Amino acid sequence: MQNMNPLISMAFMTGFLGSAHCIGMCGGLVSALSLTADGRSSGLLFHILYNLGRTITYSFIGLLVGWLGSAMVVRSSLQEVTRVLLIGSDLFIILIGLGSAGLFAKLNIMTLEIGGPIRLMSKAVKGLRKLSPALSALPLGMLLGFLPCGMLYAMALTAVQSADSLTGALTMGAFGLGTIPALFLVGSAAQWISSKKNWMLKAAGIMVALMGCYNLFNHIRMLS
Amino acid sequence: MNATGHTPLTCLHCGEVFTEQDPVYETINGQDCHFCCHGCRTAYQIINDAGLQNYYQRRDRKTSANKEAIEAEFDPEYLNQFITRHNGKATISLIVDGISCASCIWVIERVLQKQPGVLNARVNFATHRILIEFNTQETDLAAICQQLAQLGYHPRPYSLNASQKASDKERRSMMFRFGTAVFLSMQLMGFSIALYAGYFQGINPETRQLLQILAALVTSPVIFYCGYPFLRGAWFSLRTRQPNMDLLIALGSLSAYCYSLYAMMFGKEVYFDTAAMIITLILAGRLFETSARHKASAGVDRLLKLAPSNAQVRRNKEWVRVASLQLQAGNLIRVTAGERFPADGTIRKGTTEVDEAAVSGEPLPIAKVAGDTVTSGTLNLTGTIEVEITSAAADSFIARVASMVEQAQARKAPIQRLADRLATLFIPLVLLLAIATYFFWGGGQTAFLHAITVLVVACPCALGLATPTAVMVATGRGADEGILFRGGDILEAASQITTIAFDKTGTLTTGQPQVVNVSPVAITEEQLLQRLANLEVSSNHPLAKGILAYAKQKNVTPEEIDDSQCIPGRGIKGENDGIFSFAGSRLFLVEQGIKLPEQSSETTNSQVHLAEAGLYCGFIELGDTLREDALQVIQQLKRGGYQNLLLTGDRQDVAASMCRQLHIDQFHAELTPASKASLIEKIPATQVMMVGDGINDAPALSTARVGCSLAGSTDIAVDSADIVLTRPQLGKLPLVLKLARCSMRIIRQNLFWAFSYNLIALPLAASGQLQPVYGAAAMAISSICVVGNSLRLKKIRLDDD
Repeated sequence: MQNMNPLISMAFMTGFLGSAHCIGMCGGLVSALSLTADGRSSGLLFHILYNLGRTITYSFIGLLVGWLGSAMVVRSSLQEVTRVLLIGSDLFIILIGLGSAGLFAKLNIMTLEIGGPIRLMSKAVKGLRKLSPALSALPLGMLLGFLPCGMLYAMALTAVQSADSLTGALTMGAFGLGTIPALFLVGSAAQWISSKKNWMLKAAGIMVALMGCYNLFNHIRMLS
Repeated sequence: MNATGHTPLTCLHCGEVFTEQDPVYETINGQDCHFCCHGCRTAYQIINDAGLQNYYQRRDRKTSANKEAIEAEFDPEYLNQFITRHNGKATISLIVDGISCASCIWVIERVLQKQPGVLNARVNFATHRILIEFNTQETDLAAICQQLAQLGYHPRPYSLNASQKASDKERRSMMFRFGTAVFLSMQLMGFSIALYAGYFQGINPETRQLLQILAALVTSPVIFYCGYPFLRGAWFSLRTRQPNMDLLIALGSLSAYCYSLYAMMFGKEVYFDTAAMIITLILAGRLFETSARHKASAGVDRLLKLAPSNAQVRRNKEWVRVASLQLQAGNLIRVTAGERFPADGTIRKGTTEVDEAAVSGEPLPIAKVAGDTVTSGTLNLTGTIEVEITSAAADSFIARVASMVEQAQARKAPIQRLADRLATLFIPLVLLLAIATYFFWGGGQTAFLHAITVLVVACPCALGLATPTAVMVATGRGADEGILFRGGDILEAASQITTIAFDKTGTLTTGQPQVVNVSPVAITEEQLLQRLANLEVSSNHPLAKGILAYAKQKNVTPEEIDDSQCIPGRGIKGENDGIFSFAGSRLFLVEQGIKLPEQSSETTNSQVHLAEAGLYCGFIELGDTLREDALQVIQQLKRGGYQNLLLTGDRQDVAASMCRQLHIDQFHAELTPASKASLIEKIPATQVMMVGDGINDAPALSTARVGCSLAGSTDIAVDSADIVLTRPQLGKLPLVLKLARCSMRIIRQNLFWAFSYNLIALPLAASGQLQPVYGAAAMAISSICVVGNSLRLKKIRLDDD
């Protein structure tokens, strides 16, 4: 049963619902990056590769934090600490999920956003831009996958909770895949999604909270 | 201002409006910048640091703006008619010309949303429509339009009619239901797979219970929200006691759902996935069908969009802009270069060139002068002209064509009635079969599943879709090609045609006389032509047009003379430097006391004689010429195995010579309109298509199995015809027949497919060989196959033999 974890499909859903947020931010960024030197837009391939790169980064993060999580759980000497940590962060995830869903405004997924090493990133972007769009797309995506994003942090936290590197990678990968469709939408569909943005972000919050509940349920069972 | 007193800010990166709740401030290059979130700030910084600032400047670009658009003025009063007001918010829908890519949308939306007073602006890329919500106290529409024009996009008001609004709404709600169903079903899959795995590997009861509850939670909206159209349809079918397909779907999914709820309470296996999948897959089929229908009617929209929605009309000695719909016959309108004509009319002042490609398919611009007619939807190319409207926009050529296509798409082909009758018989049988299946398998859990499968798999959707989709796509394709079918019945009839009867004048011939002979007396041919042209230039008569066209061809330019006067039915009287000249019929010249030589021989052609200063100068003979493609078309039809027949009111020898020229098998000459019709009635046991254009052909057109008229035909001919070729080219005729035959072939394939699907799937389901989910998938796939097969008509090659 652990192989087909419902977390994965939930992560995909979260990605999709959360991508209403991405359209504004990442959408603008990707369109800017896809401009060639003479100001024209490069094609679909750029977007596909860029998004692939982003998903790879997410999966990698998931792998890493999942492994960290498993290391934490395995150490039985730390069981008391682990239990508090795990259940505490489950509750935290549930809280910010519900917060984003509109239950209380102060705490929500967006508050998770903290600055990243921006200078370093933009330097690398500048270097990559020297390559042709087709060549730079994948590495650009991989690089900008590290952009600070509240939704991403929330997912990373649940990936830690899964306490399994494979599940972590799959969860984060599914999340990345889920964000892709919305970024490909132009015109009517994109504006439709944008118009439903608040609604979708709330639903994403509920999803996150559900994932937290699922983990919490598992952890209570596992640790008792 | 909102309730908490925060000022709304606009995010510098994504353009999203947000309140000052948790803003992100940054001072970049000495400027205060606001962002809605850290992500946007980072994105902004990266874009700036990577030297891509001009991405943001794109919003203010003016490069592609054309001069005309920038200088355009927007009359607030006119625009006001299109605004709908609600709760202090005003909304307007505009069509914007000049949108070429997704970044245009980006630019428009961002710029508009930055405008004070604009609450919301959304651009639809597919339709180039933009919906703006704004506050009338802070801004007015003219300013918004001005802003758009300055960006290089030319806005014009757009008003949806009620039916379009309804179908748009239906499509949107369908999309929404389907989207919801897909994502919830995917979610459900996660739970179900876990449950299945647990079933085989063992699972602890609490986990199972939790997963089952979660599954029930996501399934309920799928059934009751996404599946609402089916539930409602089923309810109505019960109330009217006419079982339909919705009933089968509703019964199938509801019974799986209710049983699963029951099973959940008592710790048995649940089948929520089955219930949700049935709804999701069938919605997929419906959605595909709706979008195919939308595609087919897009052609009509395109046609209607050709005519602009507003026009400058003369009211009390002033030019004012009004909606095209308000134009009445007799109104004088002004059309500037680059505009399309909003209605049919006659030019009163000015000369121009008109691109009629949209209506006639003629690619070259046509010169038009005062007195010439213009058709709605055609494009005024070079000059500003004043046009007197001859028919209201709603009765214009374009509008009539569009309504014909729409009606055609709704008319049923006889073959469909068969399918309908079968479907109504079919459903009670299926219900019985499902009950029988349940009891045959002993009434347990498996029996229940088998019965559900029967219900789901039997849904005769494919059967119901087989004909209408093909008819819709074929009529849409026809409209693209300039062929209008009046309905599915006409498609079916045209596919059975064996004989084609042609009218002569205006059908096989152009109906426009052309010079065939110039015979001068005492002067050169050129002199004769020059003098006649000088006189005829003031006339509108077809013969005058023929002579002038010939003169132009020979590089003879008409010269101005002091005075000229048309005498109806006779000819033209002119005066130059005191010399009188007469041009016209033999009779006219005799009346003027001119001595003419004896008529050499009987001729079928028309003659224009000229006399100057009392002396006879000769005549020009004009004849009706064959259409360029007439011979080719007749040969093509003969190769296709069709019989050809010429019906004309003309004399025997004329008809005989034409038949020889065109290799037409048979002819009947010297016919009256009534005898044309009765002749067609008499042709035994064959299916005749009549092709004609005149008032005199109207009875024959309606008597024939299929009547076909050409663009430029008289209105009554168009109204009596079943098929109209919107371009005056006979060459489309073989295409008509080919398209009709192809459509019937596709319909037969569809019906065959739908029947065999049910014949194979039903026994399988009843014998318990199919899971309900596979049943639903098979059902959806069979519908999609049918619709896909119909869509082939859009691409099928028609021009080869």
